[in-house]
Amino acid sequence: MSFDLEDLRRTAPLLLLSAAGLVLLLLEAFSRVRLIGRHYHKKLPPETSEAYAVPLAGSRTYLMPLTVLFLAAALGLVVWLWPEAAEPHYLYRRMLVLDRFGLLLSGVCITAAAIGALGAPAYLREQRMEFGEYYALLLLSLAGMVMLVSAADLVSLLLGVETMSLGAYVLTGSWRRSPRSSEAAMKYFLMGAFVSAILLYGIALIYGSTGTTELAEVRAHLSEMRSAPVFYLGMFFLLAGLAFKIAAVPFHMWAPDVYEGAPTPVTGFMMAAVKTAAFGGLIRLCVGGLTSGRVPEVSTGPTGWVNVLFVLSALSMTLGNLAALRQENIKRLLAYSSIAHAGYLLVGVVALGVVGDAARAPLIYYLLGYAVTVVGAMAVVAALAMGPGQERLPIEQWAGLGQRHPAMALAMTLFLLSLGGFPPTAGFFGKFYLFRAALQNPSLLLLVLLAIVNSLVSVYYYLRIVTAMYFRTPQEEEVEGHVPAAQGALRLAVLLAALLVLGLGVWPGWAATVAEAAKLAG
Amino acid sequence: MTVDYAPTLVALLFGLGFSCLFMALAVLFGPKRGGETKLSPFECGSDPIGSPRVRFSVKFYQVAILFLIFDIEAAFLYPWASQFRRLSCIGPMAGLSCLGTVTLFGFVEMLVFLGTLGVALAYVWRKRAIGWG
Repeated sequence: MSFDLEDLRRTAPLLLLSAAGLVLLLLEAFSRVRLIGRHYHKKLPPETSEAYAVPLAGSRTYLMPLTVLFLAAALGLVVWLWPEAAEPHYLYRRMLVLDRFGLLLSGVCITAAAIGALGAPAYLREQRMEFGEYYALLLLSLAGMVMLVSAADLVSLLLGVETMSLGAYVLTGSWRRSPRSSEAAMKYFLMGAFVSAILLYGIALIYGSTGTTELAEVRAHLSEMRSAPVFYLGMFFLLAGLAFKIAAVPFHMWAPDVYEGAPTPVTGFMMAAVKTAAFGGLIRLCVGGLTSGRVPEVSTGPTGWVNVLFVLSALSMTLGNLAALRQENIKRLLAYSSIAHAGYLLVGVVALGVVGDAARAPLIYYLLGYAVTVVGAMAVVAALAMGPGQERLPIEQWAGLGQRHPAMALAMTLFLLSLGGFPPTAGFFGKFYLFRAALQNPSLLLLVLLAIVNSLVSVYYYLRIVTAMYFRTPQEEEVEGHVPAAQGALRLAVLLAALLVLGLGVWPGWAATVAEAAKLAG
Repeated sequence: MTVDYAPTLVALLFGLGFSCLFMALAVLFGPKRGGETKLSPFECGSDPIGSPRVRFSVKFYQVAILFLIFDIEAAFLYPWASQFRRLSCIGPMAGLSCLGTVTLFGFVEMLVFLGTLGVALAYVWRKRAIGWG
């Protein structure tokens, strides 16, 4: 038993990310730390207390550039493999597949993570949680995402979801002095573990009814599954598990608490990369394993996955937007907005089942646009923290930022406009392409109309923040702490995200061409 | 066929022999100091002294988790060991012997796994999670 050595080369990004994660873990363990006593923490809020280990001043600043370097290298490998992936290659006994769809989504996740990592040290230092594990976990979680978006088998799909989530669980709780962070990690982990069991159960049921876990083989067996209840049960379990990971209603309960409690760069990472990868897995499952022209019942039949996702999509965007209307905390607001965006994205997945391959490129474009937008928005939130343990979360604290931090306010406005779907931003063209593709089939008219109405509603709460920043004067003179916005890397991250959001919006053609070329295997 | 089970029988005899040996040694050489309290019959269910809710040191949880992790990782060695010859063989097998070419595949795979585990151990070690101090 063996595998082709070529397989190693074709999974180079995955291998690089895993190895880089281990290297960073060792660097963290073998670099020096010192204990800092209580007196140092008089200035800290009560939730940070006692002595704990912090890196020596000025040490370990190499961790972030090193991480970004690794991510850039991984991105380079993705680009290097791109020409070769024009034809799908099955790897490791058909566990993984190298195709342009997987490569492009890996690239989106890596880019989002890199922008997030650029901005992280400033925030982490500010919140006294600058630990090297942050970067190691980030890379290992990314390795899981790369595996997930290139899965050709239900087993590697599960393995990808698990590896991705384990990193995310720990990162959520990595702000050890914050009870909210611990609570978020606990909730996310317990529910995530439960969902893993559901995913595994679904895989077992599908294996039990089709006799295979390979997605292409499952598809080949679909004609025998027309009316097999066990198969449908397995399919619903799998859909529920992935719907949890993308935070679609009614599997969204964890999202607001987790997105609020997690350290802000982690929130950005989860909203962008975890969501993109989970959508990649969902598309792999639905299109690669559960769609067959000869057996339309499984996809578009009354109990097919299209109907399930149709309902999830309508619920997600409506409930997400309605809840976001009433939020006063910016992270919670963006969390509910993220649920709503999961709804819009599900319109694309539904369209993949109904319209077919024409919806693939718009969906990928939307994922790319959304990922860079939320990463940028979270970087701004991190940049505007007012001191250790004090983030600028209530919206009233955003009043007057247009004068005080004009650059950051401008960037935030851009990101919010992109989330709301205003031209000329990535969000506008994402929605435009996606809804236009979905409208190729008139049966989706209702869903698209609902999405458009929801987008209009969402403009209200996005603009609420913008008006607060520009047209409201702050209640009192705020104490200017050592604002980490002074950190160059964080500014660079915001700038990069803003440029990408604008670039995707002003010249949507190139990204659309790349997305068009990103064909799914099988 | 029956002769195949001979090693099992030998292992069983060794196990029995050693436990008997050590018990016998304890009876022969162990100090026997019986006192009134030691010889008196004891009963369960008497009134407890103090609260049963003792506060354990938080260190126990760390040790327990580390034990769990490394123990489970060690469990992965068993299926590998049972399939080792098959993993190393390209081509048909006759019983346990390989008729094709023997490769290092199975060995290298386990090295990669153990190497990763080694990184984890080094990390845990350096973070002083193993020590009790």
